[in-house]
Amino acid sequence: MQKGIKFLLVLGLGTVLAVAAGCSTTYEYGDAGDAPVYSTGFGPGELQQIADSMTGSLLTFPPIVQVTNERRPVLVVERVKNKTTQHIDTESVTDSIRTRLLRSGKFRFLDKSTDGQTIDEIRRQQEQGLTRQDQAAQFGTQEAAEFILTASLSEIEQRKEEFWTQEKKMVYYKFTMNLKNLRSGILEWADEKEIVKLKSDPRFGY
Amino acid sequence: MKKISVLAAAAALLALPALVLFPGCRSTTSGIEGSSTVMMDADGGYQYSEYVVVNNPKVARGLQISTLSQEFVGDILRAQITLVSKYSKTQQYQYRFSWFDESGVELDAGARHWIPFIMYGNETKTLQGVAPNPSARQFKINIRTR
Repeated sequence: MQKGIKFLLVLGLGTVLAVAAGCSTTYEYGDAGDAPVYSTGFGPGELQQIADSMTGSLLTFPPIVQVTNERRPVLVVERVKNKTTQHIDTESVTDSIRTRLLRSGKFRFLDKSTDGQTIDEIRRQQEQGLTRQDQAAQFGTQEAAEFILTASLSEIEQRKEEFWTQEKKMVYYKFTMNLKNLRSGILEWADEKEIVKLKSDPRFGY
Repeated sequence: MKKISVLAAAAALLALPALVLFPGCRSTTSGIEGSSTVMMDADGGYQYSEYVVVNNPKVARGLQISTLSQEFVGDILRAQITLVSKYSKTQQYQYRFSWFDESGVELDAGARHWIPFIMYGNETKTLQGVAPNPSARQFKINIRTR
């Protein structure tokens, strides 16, 4: 009898220790392509889905395919208009889309964010007297963008209270992107990506 | 004797919820995989070779890859797969496309990511992917439960 009780004691304590040791706090590398969902906020998973969807849509839109078969048009990207209530680094969304479009080999981009450094460097090449003038970059020789990519991100949030759940929350995100021809003013392409994130807090359990 | 019995009972009581609450820190991440390769024949036409691999029979019992198709839009490969849910209830899955050139070298290997999707009861759904650049000749799709 006493042997049985001792066995139970050892088994019970052993199990508790094993569970505690097995699931203790750890630090490790995660997979950037498998970002877990911790909130209804805009996260890396949404960024990747949007970049994927927009790039795929633009690369396979028939009139754009026709243009990119003939030449590599020059694009400029505007920062995403953030219409949500969240603080979102929208530049990282456009950075991801721009990187993918560039790597497709179908488009070229002007980078407005480095215009200040470019002006400084051209001025240095022309004025310091260190650079061969036949090789120095000149003002007014850069290519003009043919198209401009603009985008906006909006959200709609809804909440619901139920007896069995403390709170139910739904956040709907809509990302809209447009490609406008700067010379003609014509909108050449547009697409949307919708994402819904849900939160449910159970009143009982965990 | 009595003290030991109380301790044993307490330990057993502690162990039970612990086992229920923490069944393990690892989850199954294998699923099903579909792949299609485009090859150009001597006449300049395209030939396709396709296969489906079941790494997790539990996923395959609930989800079937019905068709794997692809087309060139300009010179960019676009893939489409059709899935059929064999469950009557809603299920949550994730998919990930990978792209390879004609030598089998993966394109943009670091940029692959899992995208969530929902399959409603006995639904048929198509998923599409677009290759990152014109050198893609093969695609692979991995599907797993969420």
